Amino acid sequence: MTSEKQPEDRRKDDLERLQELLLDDDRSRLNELDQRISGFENRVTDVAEVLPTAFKRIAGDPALEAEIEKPILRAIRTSIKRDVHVLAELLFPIMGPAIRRAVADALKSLVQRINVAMENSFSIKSLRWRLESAKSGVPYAQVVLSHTMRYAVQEAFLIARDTGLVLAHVHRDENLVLDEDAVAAMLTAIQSFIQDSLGMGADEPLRSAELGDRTLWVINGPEAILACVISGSPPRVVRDELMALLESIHARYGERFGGNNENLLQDTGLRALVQQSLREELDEPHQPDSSSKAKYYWIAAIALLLVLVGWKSWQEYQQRQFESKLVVLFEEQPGYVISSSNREAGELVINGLRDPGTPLPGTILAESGLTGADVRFRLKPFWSLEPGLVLQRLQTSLQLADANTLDLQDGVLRVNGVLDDAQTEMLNRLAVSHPIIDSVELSETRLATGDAIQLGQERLEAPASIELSAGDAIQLARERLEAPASIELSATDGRIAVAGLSSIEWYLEKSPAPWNIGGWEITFEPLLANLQNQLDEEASDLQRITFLFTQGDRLTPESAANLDPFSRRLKSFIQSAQSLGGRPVVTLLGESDGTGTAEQNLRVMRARVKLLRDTLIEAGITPTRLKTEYPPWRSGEENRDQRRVSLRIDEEESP
Amino acid sequence: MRSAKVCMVGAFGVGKTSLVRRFVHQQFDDRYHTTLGVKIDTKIVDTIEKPIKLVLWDMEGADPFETDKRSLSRIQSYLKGAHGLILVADGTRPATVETALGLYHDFCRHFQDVPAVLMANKADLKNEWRFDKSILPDALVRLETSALNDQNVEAAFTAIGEMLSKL
Repeated sequence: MTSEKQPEDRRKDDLERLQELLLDDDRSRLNELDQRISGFENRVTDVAEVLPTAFKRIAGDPALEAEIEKPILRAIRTSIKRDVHVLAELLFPIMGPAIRRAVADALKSLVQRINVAMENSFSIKSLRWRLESAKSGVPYAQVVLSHTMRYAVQEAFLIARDTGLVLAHVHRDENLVLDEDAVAAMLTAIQSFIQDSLGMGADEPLRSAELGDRTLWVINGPEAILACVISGSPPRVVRDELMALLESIHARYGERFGGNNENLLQDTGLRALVQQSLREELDEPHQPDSSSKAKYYWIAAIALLLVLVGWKSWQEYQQRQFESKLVVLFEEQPGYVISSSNREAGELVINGLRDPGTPLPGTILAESGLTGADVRFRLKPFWSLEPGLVLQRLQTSLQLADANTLDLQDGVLRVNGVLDDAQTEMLNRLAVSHPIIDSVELSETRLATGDAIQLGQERLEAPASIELSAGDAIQLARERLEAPASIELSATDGRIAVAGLSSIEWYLEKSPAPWNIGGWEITFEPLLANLQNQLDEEASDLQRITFLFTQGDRLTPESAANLDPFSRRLKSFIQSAQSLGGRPVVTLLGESDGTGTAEQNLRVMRARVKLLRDTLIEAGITPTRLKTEYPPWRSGEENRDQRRVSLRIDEEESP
Repeated sequence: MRSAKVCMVGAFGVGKTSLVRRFVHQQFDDRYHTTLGVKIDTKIVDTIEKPIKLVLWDMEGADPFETDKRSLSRIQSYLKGAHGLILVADGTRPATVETALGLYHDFCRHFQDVPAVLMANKADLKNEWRFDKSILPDALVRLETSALNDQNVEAAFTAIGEMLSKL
């Protein structure tokens, strides 16, 4: 067979043999490479291996990115043109949340501003609700709830879009009994019927229906619909929230919606998700912060109001207390009649009557301690008939002495003490003229002695030779002289002798007048003698006083302390003596001890006398009443008692 | 419990509503009421495996050869997602058998093969039946039923329930 081979075949065999010799192992590798390159599946496998790495490399190359972008965009466009639903279903779980987030962010700041505005205002509505709560006794929270319940999702069905079978059913009312499959199927049928009857496409599904006071919302998803039965008026945003819920349901369970619904009906996770659709909302959702702030504002406002009202009431109470105290004070005051009190321009005005004999209102106020307020009195004068004031008025108008006592009881005026004629007459007239004095009782009074004697003499028509008895004369003299108790009066030989003791002033006042009382003369000589004796005793006492010195012209502490009282006493003595006609002269006698020289001692004695003399002159004693004298000095032993100034009082001889 | 969507289809007046009424409510009314759109009823069927709840879509009568397109489109939208079909025909009117088969074929063309049962109704008037049984596909389960006499009604619904429970 080999010999029969053509020359061309032989050349090929030779070439192969040569290749085998030359390439040996490489030849088998070349064959492997050839198979790998020429086989389609092999090439696909190779490209798949390197493709991820290649994409990583071209990620940073803008030119290559642009090249890849074009075919991808073209493919997406083609896909959308062919069937828009494919992409819509793919994007459904993503687009909804993204759009809602963008819208929510935009609204957030607006809502915050509105919230702030709400927080800072007191709502009249909330005040009205509080009033309603207070009136009805229903708790405030309940009143608010009744006014603010806006909507509530009562029931929700998750229904498979194609089969109309229920995948999950949740509701608020536990007693609800219905065939949920029938409801769901009917709903699906109705939706189909409407779409079909109205010639609408599958992308224009039924969205809501009104059923009495309930609203049916149908939230459409690609695989399932969420049908919610709602009471009240839900805001649009709730629909978005339900849509978001349906999206998350799709994301987790979407793939299982087409199959057997039994497992889904028993899936607690799915049920819990659908349960979230049973939401409700109050009419005025408040942020916890804002509601608590509003609460604090209310509390603060009410507290402030209470404080203001309390303070005002307290002021008012204090004012009224003060006014009533004031009115009572003047009502109880004798001689005051209070008719009314009122306020004029913030000032308390008290109207009434006042007896002029009473203390002024200001005095009464000051004594009572009720001061510090603006009070004006509008009082007209009148005469009070209160007994105290009547008696006071009588005491003044009759010029009665303090010794006279008056008493008024049951219209009877009783008077005690000594009265003169005029007083007696006026008192007797009162019984006729005075409105509350019916009679005047004067049995306890008597006339002054002079009046009595005069009256007696008049009544008796006695001749001048009729004289007073000594006792009567003495009594009369005591009255006329207004003699103090220390004065003794005696009557002898037609004269009344004034003896005893009195002040020099009284003597000087009474003694000059010529006295004749009922024919009796009065002599003051005994009294004068007594007064002069008194002065002599004083002179003796004063002469016993000496002033001791230490060395030089410095007084001992005891003598220094006595100097001022002595000066006053000596001055009084001199004045008294002079007033009784005397001319006393006070001689200051300087002495010294036996030490030193005569000259030294004389100087010291002069200094000591000068000190005393100057002091007495300074105290008001006339220098002419003072003399000085220095007894002859004799040297001898030191005798401290001789360091002194003594004095001697003499009567100056008449010039 | 599993639920299944079962659609009753057939020509006008074949007795779809009467069959459902008999099956679900054990009642019969000889007055004729045209169904507009669809009526829904449910009934639990005890099958060999476990009970299954049939959600019965009793649809308005239709004829794929005569009914207007809008109505057909609506019927198709009702049929969407059906787990099983009950084809109802009137044995006294051979055309209704063809209508039921036509609807069945339409369904299979638009959607997918699902268990189906043919109820040849009005068996109480069997002496008046005049249809050719040879046109019926062998694979199709068929029962002669009478809503009036309650003949094979429960059996037919149980049959579809059994078929669905095995899926």
